[in-house]
Amino acid sequence: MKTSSVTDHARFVARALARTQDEPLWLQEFRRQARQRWQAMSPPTLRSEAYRYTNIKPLLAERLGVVTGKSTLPPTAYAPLLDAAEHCCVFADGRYVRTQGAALPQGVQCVRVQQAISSGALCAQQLQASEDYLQLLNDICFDDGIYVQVAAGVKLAQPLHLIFVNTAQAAGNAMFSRNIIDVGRGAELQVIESHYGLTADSYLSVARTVINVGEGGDCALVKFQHEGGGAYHFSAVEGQQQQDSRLSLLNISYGGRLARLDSSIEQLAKGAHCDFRTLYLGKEQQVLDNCAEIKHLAVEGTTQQRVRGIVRDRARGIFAGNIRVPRQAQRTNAEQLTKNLLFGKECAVYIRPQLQIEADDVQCSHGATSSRMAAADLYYLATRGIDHRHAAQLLCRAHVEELAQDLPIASAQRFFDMVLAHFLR
Amino acid sequence: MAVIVPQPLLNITDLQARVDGHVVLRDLNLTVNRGEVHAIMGPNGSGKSTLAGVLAGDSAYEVVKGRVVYHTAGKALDLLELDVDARARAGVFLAFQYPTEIAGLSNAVFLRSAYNAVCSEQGRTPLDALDFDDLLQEKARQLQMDKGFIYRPLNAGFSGGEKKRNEVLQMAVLAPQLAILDEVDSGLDIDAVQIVAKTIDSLRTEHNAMVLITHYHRILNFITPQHVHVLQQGRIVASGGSDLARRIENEGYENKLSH
Ligand SMILES: Nc1ncnc2c1ncn2[C@@H]1O[C@H](COP(=O)(O)OP(=O)(O)O)[C@@H](O)[C@H]1O
Ligand SMILES: [Mg+2]
Repeated sequence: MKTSSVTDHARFVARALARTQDEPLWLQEFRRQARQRWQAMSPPTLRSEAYRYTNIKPLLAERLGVVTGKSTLPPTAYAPLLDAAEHCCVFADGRYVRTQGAALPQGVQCVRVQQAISSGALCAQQLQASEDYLQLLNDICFDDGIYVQVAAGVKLAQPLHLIFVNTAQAAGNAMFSRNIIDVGRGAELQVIESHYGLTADSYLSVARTVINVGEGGDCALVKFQHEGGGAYHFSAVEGQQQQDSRLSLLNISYGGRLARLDSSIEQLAKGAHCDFRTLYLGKEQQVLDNCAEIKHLAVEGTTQQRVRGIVRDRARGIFAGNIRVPRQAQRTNAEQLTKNLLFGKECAVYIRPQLQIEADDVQCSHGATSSRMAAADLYYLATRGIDHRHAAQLLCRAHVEELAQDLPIASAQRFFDMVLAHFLR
Repeated sequence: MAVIVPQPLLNITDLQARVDGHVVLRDLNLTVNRGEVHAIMGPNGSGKSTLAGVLAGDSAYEVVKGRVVYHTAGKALDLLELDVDARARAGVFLAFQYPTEIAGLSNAVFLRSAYNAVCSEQGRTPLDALDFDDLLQEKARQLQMDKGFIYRPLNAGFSGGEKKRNEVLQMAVLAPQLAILDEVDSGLDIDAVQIVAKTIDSLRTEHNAMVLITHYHRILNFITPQHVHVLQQGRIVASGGSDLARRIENEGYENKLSH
């Protein structure tokens, strides 16, 4: 007999919902509505526009559970991700375990989401209901994560690091996290969000981070996705920018068997700047899917979007980027550039760059390239004594170099080093 | 009086090579001893770059027959059997006629990788980034290269002359036993030729050797070769001392076939 996997997921959802009875009524209602929408929806297929290149069937066939036992996570297990200067909040298998590293300055509130909910610091509107099949699951099931609020004018000198580690306990289970970041007027914050897998077994990790950058504020988010080899990872970043604010995003997608990242940024008031960078490095049979939508809803906004991908073996890299400049967004300056490097013939990239421009007084450009590793480049390096593996490493490094320049968080350099060294091992 | 016995570094015998099915090198014989500079001159299309490419291991060229023996560390290696990178680590260096541009790869990072690859093979100590920087800057000064060059992406956006200087900078850093310089003087103005040539000349020792491929005589005003060969249609048609280069300068290549 064939089990309907979707039914199986529904059973999982019912179980997850049963845990939410002590929550405030508004949240229970929020989840109930999400569940209703989710049930009314059929899972996306290759015919769905947003999932054209990403087949989630294998995920739908997985039987998922929730983590029940207690996770053990010694700090040594995730030490390679750390930087001593950072304030770290550590989660194991979706559950908060500890805080370590540097202290946070005055004017910064950093608490677990449940705490922010029960204290009334968070309301339904800040949670923002989703339309996406997997992110709706997050709406229904999320039960941990961080709420950060930086008061007006407060500038953090060191990054805040949210580390989500999935241990052997994660195998066969689903984890949901929700982070909400509020950067006040003229405030500055740097956040690193790492997802790190210690198991090669399959599991599902669905993460969502919502960022609001107040007027003249400056927020940088580095997302480092290094899940285990069997992981399904679905992440969303939703950003809203006020006047003259700055939002810098750097996504590094490296791990997982299937990883999808949806970014959506809205510039709500004039003069906002968005620096958007994505790097994906796919090998073996990985599918790394990246979607980004940037909406300029006010005048004089700027966006610089840079995407670099490298794929090898039979991996697939996907980038669908859309920059929207409606009529009201005059004097927008937006630039999108995607460059891909492919090893061999069996890997592939699918690129869909889009600019939707209705305003007439704008400067917008986009470009996309895909090329195979050049034999002439490898030869030149070989004539200098550099062996093939090292030469390929140097060329990969060269390919991503532009992304690694002037990083919004300087210490994020270590993630580049880590993935590039590992990618061609 | 002590007799100086020449120490062979490279023996090429009956070398024949094809590119795209056309034979471009025919029955080429050449012996290069340590301490020697050989100039190879010849008109366009005569096979000079092909010879350089075959020695470096460019897979575009197919060796049909012949042998190339390279003597190093007391061993006689079959050069054609070695991979491109292994040849380089054994001390063979090619300065390209048309160097490759690689955007995003810093000259300094690239060269340190090369230097350390060569060093580790030859039992020398690898250098860390700071020590290597000192070495690189010293060599760049000698070539009167702007310091900024060494941190720029490898050859990307360099002018023709800058690329050539950068090839010589690499040679100076890697200190090869056998340097093959393919038209390292083309694209340089006369002052630059002098600077580059003097640097190359200063790298001559009794242990290494150079094969200087050139179209023009002018670089030979600063580097005096012991041997000059004229390559025409894939064959060495004349060999002589440095005066041969002078004669070619005056008379052109035309007459050389009949000698
Ligand atoms: N990659 C190639 N494909 C086809 N023909 C080539 C190639 N490289 C060289 N040749 C031919 O081989 C001959 C020798 O070329 P080359 O060695 O570059 O000459 P030189 O360096 O003396 O000017 C020329 O006739 C040239 O057209
Ligand atoms: Mg040539």
